[in-house]
Amino acid sequence: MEISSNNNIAQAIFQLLSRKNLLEKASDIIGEVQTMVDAQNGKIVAKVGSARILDEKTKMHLKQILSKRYSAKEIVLKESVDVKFLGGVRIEVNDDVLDLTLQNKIGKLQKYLTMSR
Amino acid sequence: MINNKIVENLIKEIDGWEVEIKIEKIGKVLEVFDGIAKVSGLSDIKSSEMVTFSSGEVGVALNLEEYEVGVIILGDFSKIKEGDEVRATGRILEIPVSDAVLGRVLNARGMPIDGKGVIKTTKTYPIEKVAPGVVTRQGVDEPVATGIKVIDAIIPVGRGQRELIIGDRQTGKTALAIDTILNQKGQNMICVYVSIGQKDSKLRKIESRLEEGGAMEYTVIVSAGASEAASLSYIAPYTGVSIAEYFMDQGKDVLIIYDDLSKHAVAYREISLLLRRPPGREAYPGDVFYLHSRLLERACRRNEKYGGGSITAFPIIETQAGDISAYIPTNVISITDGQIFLETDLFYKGIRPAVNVGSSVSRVGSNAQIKAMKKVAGTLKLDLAQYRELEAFAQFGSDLDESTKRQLERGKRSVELLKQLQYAPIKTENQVVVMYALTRGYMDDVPVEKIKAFESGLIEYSENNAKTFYKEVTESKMWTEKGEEELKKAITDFKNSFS
Repeated sequence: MEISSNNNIAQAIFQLLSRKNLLEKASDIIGEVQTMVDAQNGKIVAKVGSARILDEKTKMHLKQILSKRYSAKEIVLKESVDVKFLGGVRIEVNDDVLDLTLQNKIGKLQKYLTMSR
Repeated sequence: MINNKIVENLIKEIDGWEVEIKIEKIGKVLEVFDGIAKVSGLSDIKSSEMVTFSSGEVGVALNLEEYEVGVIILGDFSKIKEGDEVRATGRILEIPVSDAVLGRVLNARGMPIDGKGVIKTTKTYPIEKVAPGVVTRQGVDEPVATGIKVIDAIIPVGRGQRELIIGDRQTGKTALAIDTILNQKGQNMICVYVSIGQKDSKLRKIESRLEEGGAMEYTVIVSAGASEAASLSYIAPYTGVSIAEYFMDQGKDVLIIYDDLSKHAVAYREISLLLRRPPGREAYPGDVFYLHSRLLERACRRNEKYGGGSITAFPIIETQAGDISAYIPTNVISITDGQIFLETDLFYKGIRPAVNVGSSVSRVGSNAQIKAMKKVAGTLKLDLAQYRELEAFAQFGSDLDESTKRQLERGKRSVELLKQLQYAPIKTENQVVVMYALTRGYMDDVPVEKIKAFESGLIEYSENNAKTFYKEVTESKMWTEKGEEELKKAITDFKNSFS
């Protein structure tokens, strides 16, 4: 039953998109629909960037903190690894960004030292 | 050894540094065009909040819409790409301020553009501020000596006043303002000249003129040139007045010139239309009145209890073919405390400064005029108005009675005397002397073509021969009977020797 109703919704969405000539933008629109559905279900996607792959313990800890802060039922971590960060993590939730990377700290230090005083 | 010192210093500097990392609001650039960026995200942003782009450019959030934010970019927008990160700063746009800005040429963001090196300061002022309230203010009662006879005598301006200079192109609006700056030497006044959308060549000329006259010592120039983005022209006057407020907060008197607010309104119209705000009359947005009123309200004279100091504003408006009933001119006329109206016809007749005395007014300045000047020039405006009327009337018939003829002759001499060369400001006490000679009839039998020579001769003669009078006027701003007698004698003596 659930599968068929989901199929119906998907069918309806695609019909609407094709009618409005919006199939080109389908991936953006579906992404937007996904965020709305997630928001309704209390699910939050957090992008986590780090210099090295995070271990399970850290991830659990992060999830706990984030679900408390955003009072979310479920936290989905989308991880990415970039050596440019040098160390630490960068967390993005919606338009909130907490940049705890070494790269950011060094950048701030550079700004402080070159500031005219 | 040297290396050790550098390392030591570095360690000391780093010790004093505390890293502050907090959750930031970040948006993404959706589109960029003509100095405007549409940005997604930035959910808690405030209106007029400063944002920074990942390329280092700075912007100001002006349009807060449901799903996106319209940002004006202050600087080069070609560096900004779609998808770039935009950070909200939580602060209103600020400019660096310090005493070292005197004698410098700055851009609209307060950065020096004159190649004389960086200005070191840690102090900043927000460019938008609420104007001083009623309790902090005081009436205008101290004069601004412009050194221009027609203004000081007929349309006097006081410290803290907002006097509009309005006229067509090429009628001497900027010249009037520059002359006023030149005359502020030794008058305890800081000057700020804000150039909005002007040609760089004109700015260069003004700067070198001020330099020559020794006026740059107490002057700051803020410039948003014609080749720069409209957003910079939009913020330039606010930058200027923030610098003026910095000096006023030290209890100083400041004179600020906005050259000109018509171009400022045009720049704001451009921004507003690009941000898709609805156009109103002459395609200006609905808040174009508030644009200028909030700027000019920041000119004020503060009472001693709140630190004293004043900001006198000389906004300039350029009219098209003498039309002062267009949208922006009427707006600014209603905001200011009077206007100096310059006319093309007068200018080409050789009456320079081409001030139309009939349409020019100063609503609060007469309280600030020095007593001596008030006494000698009190009737001048009326005399000139009557002369204008009679002049038109006298063209019809040749039969005129004696008193009419006398009035016409006096009028001709008044007009001649009020003419003045550019860059030649005259001291107030000298103005009093020549006005005295005019209004008391000493010039009535001097031929019109010799009035100029008579004026300069008289000034020189009385400076040497009426010293008591001069001392009284400069010190107590009024004279005694004894002083007046001395002046009368000096004028008569000079007249007898004048041929």
